[in-house]
Amino acid sequence: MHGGEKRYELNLLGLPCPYPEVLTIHKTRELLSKDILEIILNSPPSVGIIRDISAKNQFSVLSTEEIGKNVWKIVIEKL
Amino acid sequence: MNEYSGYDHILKFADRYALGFEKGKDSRHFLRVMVPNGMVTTEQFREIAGISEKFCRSYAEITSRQDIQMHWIEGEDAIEAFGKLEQLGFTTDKCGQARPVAHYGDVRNIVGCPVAGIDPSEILDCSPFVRELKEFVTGNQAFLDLPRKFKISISGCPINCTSPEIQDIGLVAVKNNLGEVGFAALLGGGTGAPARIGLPLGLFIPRNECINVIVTLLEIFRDHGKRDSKARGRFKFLVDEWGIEKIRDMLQNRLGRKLEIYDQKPLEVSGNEHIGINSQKQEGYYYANFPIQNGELTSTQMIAIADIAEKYGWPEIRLSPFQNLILVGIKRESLSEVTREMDKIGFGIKKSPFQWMALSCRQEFCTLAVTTDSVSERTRKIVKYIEEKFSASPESLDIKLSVSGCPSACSRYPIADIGLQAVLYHENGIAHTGYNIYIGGGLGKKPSFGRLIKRAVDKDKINASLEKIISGYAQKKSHNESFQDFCEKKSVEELSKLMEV
Repeated sequence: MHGGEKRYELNLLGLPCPYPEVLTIHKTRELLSKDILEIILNSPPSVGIIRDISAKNQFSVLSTEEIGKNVWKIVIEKL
Repeated sequence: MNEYSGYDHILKFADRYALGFEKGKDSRHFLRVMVPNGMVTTEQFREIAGISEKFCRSYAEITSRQDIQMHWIEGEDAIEAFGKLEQLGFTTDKCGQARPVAHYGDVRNIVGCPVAGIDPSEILDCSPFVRELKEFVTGNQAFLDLPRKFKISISGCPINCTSPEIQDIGLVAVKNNLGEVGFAALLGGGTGAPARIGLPLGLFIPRNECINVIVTLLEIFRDHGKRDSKARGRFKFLVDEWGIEKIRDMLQNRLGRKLEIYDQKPLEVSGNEHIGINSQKQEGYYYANFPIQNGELTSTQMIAIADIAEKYGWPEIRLSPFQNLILVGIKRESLSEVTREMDKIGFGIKKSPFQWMALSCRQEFCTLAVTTDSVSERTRKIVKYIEEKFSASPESLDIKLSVSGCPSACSRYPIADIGLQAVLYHENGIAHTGYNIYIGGGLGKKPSFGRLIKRAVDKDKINASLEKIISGYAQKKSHNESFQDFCEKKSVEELSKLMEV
């Protein structure tokens, strides 16, 4: 399989649980190795859950940052 | 267009379904199925048991808002569960409270009297109004971003079983001076800090205006509720700030007409439960209310209950705001069989009122819990102990107990006769679980919040403390005096002394 190294963004603002985690899982299925996904969300519980499921699904969490009031960006990379 | 716009099969649920967040007992999410008026068919009940069995470790619980709540559901499984619930005609809470902002509030399950339509003494069967309002607000974009969650009850029940005084809007069926049946409303109630008893709107709402009035009040809340602070986002804060008169004026301005003044007290009886076996308005039929401790059910029990209901009565089940379960449409000759079969699966009916009216929160799963002492297990222990101690005089136990794992009052401890709120206290540098004991709360004729009588009573001394005060009540009360009335006459010091062990 070739390396992807593409960068994608998933804007999940306004969505409550479980949509951020479910949509993240679906999106990651489209990614190739080394592809990067930036997830923007404002559902606080989903931040921890997305970090958890990333680790369990062969993704590395590169960063988690609060980029605005109650808005987070999580950057993950497919291993 | 968002990046996720290709996921319509998932997002079609987003306006009507969500999971709540929790982190106790290895559960990350809860699924709270709204059951309007607590009315569910046996077929629906069986299907919900199936969801519980497939995704939620075969466990479910009846909540004090007549929902069916389940735990341990995983996010991806939720989409399948949402699809099943959609087929069944149910939706869920949107659970916007997980966000730290005064946004995404939704209308929670609309509570109604669980024996609506069958209670011979009801003023009005309000379940059609509950269903109509639920239909109107479900998925309605205009009401998906309220400042906070919004709680409504509509009931025509003479014993006030839906506790309208503690709803954001509590509608109660009343008659005006002409004898016409309509509604009085209480606004801005709630048991979370600061607790508030709803204030009378002071208007007579004709039946055909019921939905319109509630929707208009929702619009007022949506447009003017406080959005600068989540802690002050609930409707009660707007009622506090504006006063009833301003809300009444805005309501009538928006309606474009004046409503008749209604200045009588709509509620006389303290919030109670339809306990035991009672006759229905349909001649020859009875309903049977079974106490379900903490509202807890297994999926196997749920299926068995549906089978029993179908075998001996009408194919429906009613869920009560006291977390109990009612079978309806039973002929007299089948009553003993129904109670025997329910007893076999763990739900005996020969219990004291204490058991029927004991409420507990789901602290074991909750992110707000302050201790690890299991509140549901604590409640079971208290009920068992007190029922055994007073088995010779169960009439002394017409007492409402509420046990809560945090100050948020989900189990409504401020309005209970005996309210327990878990706290941590330290002794010799070691943390222990204790309970603050509130005494004398109640609704109806004399709505009041319980007074804090004892702080941080160790969990192992709770049973004895409660035995003492109930014993004092049983011995010293005057004829037919309620626990609330008995306690009202006593000072904090006297009540504290009554509990000393």
